[in-house]
Amino acid sequence: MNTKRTMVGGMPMPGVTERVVKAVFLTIICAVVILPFVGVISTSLAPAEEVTKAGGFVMFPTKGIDFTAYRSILSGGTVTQALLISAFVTAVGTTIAVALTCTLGWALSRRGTIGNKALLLLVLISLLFNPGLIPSYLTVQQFGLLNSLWAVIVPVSVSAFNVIVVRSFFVGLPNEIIDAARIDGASEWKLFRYIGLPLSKAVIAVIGLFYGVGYWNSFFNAMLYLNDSAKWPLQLVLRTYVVNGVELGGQDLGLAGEAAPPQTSIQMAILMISVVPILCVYPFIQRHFAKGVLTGAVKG
Amino acid sequence: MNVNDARLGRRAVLAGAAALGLAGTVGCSNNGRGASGAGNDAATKTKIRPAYERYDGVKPDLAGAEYKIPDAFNKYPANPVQAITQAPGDGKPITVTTYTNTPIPPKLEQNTFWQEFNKRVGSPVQVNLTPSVDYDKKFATVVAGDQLGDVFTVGNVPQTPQMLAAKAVDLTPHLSGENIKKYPYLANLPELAWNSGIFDGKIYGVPIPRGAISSQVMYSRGDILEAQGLKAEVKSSDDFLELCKALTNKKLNRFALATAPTQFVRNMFDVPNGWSKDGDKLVSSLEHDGQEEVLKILQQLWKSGYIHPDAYSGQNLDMKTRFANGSSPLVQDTFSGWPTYLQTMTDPKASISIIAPPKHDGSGKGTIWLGAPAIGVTAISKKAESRVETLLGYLNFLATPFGTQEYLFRKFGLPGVHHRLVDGNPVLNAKGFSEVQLGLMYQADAPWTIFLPEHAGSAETQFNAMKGVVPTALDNPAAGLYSETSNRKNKQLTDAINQVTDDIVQGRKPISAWAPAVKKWKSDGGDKIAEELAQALKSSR
Amino acid sequence: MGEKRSLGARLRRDYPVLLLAVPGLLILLAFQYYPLWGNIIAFQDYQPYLGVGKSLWSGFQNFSVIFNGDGEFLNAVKNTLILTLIQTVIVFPAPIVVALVLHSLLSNKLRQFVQTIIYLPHFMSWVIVVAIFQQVLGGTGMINNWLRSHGYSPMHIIGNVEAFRALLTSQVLWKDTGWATILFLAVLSQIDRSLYEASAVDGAGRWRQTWHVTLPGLKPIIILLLILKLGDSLTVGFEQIILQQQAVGVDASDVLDTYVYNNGILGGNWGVAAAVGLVKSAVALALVLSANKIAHRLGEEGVYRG
Repeated sequence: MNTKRTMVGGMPMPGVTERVVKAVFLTIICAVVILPFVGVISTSLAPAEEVTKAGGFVMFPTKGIDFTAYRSILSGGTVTQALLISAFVTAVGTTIAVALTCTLGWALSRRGTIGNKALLLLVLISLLFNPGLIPSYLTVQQFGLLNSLWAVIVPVSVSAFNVIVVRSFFVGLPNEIIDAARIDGASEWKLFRYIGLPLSKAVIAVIGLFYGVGYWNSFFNAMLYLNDSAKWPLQLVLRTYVVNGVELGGQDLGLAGEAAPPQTSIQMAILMISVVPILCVYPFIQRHFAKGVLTGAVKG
Repeated sequence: MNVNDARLGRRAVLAGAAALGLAGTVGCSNNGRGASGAGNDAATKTKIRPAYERYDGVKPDLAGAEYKIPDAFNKYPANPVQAITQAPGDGKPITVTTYTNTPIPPKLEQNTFWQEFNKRVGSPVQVNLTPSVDYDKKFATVVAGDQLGDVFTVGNVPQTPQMLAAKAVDLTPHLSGENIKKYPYLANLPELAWNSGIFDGKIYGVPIPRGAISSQVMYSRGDILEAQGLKAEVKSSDDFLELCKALTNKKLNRFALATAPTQFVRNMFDVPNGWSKDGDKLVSSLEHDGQEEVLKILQQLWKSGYIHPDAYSGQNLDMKTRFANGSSPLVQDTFSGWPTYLQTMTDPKASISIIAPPKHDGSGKGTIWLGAPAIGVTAISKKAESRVETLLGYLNFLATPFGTQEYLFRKFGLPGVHHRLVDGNPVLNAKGFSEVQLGLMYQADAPWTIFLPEHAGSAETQFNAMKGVVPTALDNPAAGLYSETSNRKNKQLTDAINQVTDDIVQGRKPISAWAPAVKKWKSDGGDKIAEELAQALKSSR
Repeated sequence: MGEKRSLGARLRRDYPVLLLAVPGLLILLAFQYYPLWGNIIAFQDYQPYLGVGKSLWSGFQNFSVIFNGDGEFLNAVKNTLILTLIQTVIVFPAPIVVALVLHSLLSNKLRQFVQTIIYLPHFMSWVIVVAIFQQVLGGTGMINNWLRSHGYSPMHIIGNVEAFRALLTSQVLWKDTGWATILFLAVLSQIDRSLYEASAVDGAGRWRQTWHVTLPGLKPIIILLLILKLGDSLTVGFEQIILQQQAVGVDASDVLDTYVYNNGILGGNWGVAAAVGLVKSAVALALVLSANKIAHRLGEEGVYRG
């Protein structure tokens, strides 16, 4: 037994070599991610002249900062409105999706109940078979959801993958706790609500994040189902900026306007606009990843 | 068909990027649809073809008609004529299904342009926009769900004629022959463009005209050439190689050509534009004798490092940037790209000169390929049959030509609100730029005009450049003819042959790989396309 | 719960569980299962304007893309499988390693900081990721521009057929390794701390703890994800590859999805897309079910016990 070492969270303190190795490892990983990202930010803020000169990517802008790219995206108000719509879709969608996924996942985790295996297989198969574009559209149409934001929210609110992941967490919960509660006369709903959910905060945070990011980033269903562009979410509106530049530039417009910022800046600014809100929300979710959630429950 | 159109490839990529699904070419791609997307019985066409009546209410500064090129304007006419006296609308909503290549407009309540537009149309117009790269998918689903608008842009789908027969109004009684004169600005659309709107001997669509303006040519940076004492002129293929050599400086990371100049080199060998007539038959330009020579030259350009090393791996946008910042002083692009370059070249001394293709052996001038006459067609839904005259009136309104009040409003909005006048030319402000984007130019549009207010004298430069090469340009005898096989397989066939071209140019395959690739192209569908097109062409005599 | 009971009795006992399942199942039935009828267009020359009712039946013609056994198809399958293998061996374990390192960090702040950073690339679209790699490694990327202007010969990375798989792999690693740590970190955070304490009492050092406590804790989720990934093994990076296909050519880059895309979907052949989708789904189902069975034999939970 190594008595000299202090214990942290049940583990001995790491040695110096281990710390150094980890530090180097993490520094390299972060650098590899951060450097291109610095390029993204720089390019979104660099003056047009410098971006054109550099042929696209500006790593370290030397000629000052220029918000033209952001201004040209945010002018007209379509992006701000789309931001609100995306926030609504993401918030409502994630709430519904997490609720449906957890209840279904819990039900499937109760092995031995009637039809359990069949239902699980049903979920698994839905993960592997794809309904196709046109049938999906016709279904949404039959449910009367065309041109409604619900068309973007409801059809994707249960992801079989997430259901399976959540279920495997619930299955992994210690049986003793559940059995004890059951003997105390807890109903199924109470088991789920007061034991299942609190013990699985971490995984619920994870699938919440998965759903949230999924809703936030989705544009394809919106393109298909929403005719009225005033209802478009952020990613679809931003797509029209990218499409424009990659494909055509201003050439097909036959228009003369004020000098537009270079397309690369626009692309990078778009990236920033869509990532920053996620980064703002992220810390609130991250709290739930803290260590030792389970320990407390078991001991308490 | 142009076998090496970077834009086409990129478009497919984006469409595919969205999701596995139907994709094709929508929008401004001036070829690639190859011979597809048009009427297949040109004989009846001549009887039903709308009469052409040129609108002469506005006098251009430089008239292009006799050279088969667009009119050019140095300035927007000072007192624009009013082209339409009575609003075309009937007060009831007009729904439109089309695509857009620009950011969407603010919603109606916040959009003074849209409000004013509705007033001038005389009907509230509801536009359902889709990003152009997604349009074919959206179109197919909307057709399946029977959700087309009163007016819709025809997407690229198989069995187009049958689809239109089922879903669209036959416009023949309204537009054929002299009937079209009721819609004078539709009558002003170039004759050839109508090929794309005629299917099975019936008019189903109003074309969006392009033509000469979408011909590809070799742009050069006149200022850079001049600084090196070079002239924007080559006399033979060797001459061209010399020019490329002189413009390449690897130490400075400068490469003469932004992309592989496939079409330019083909122009040196008088390779036909897509198809050539051989009696009753059509022969693909892929079978032309010069092709292997073309590849040899391209291979040499690539091996010598005269083509930008990222020509095949970058985005289409990058090639424009390379030309604009001078890191590649030569680029092959369409005439319609001119304004973009004027807007993006940051060097105030920068100038554009067009290099005309010579004959490869120095025996004279080469020939460029004429751009496709139309880039798309707009149809009217069968469900709106009772309002067809109103809707045609609406399209007529959208086709009012350059120099009219309607055109000025359509493209530039209201003075003081959406644009200001600079030297008498309208320049959109930010509000204007975002509000006018109702996708109007893909519903119906006037014939293209050369108008480059960015830079004084540019309109004349472009006009003269076009005058120099367009009159002798080769046109595609199959342009506008419909072939079912082409509609279904052209994209795949073209991609396959492009791939072989790319492999050969980059030295991954020998030139001897070309002949078998063409053979495969023929047997995989090329022969069938040739047959179907020839049939369509034959019945036109 | 093994005792035999009548159906009615079981229903009476289990109906609260079933009730919880109902809302989620309804969504799956309505939006996943109900539209599956559309897959019958795999046997049609489907035309949207005709609908399923009037489109012509074409038998197995749409499947010929898959079963005609031509060289290009086999090449695409080969490339797909090789890439899947590479990604399983290299890309799959990478986030586990990173998650283990992050988990072992003492400072929550530091861990959260690193986490936040390494998630960033996940939010970039492939167009941008490819552009970034281009800017750094391309023929006139930062590295090569520097090399050339200092008189060295440039490195041929992008557009180089031999380097293509390595390029694809490093792009995937860059984009998604960080994001993929999320699930593993969540699992790690739920490992009972008393297990560590117990093993420490037994004199286990950090390595032994990792080996005997941490990894066994991760095992179920690793196996679960591997099984699900197996179902996806015929699907690799469509968008990523098609964006870069022109640079290296079809031989080196074609995968199943790009092949189908080029050979059917571009022409509006909906039937072909449906046919390939069906075959892929059937293969995926077979793979997942058998992998699950194997996992079960080895005493693991797998996706489900059955």
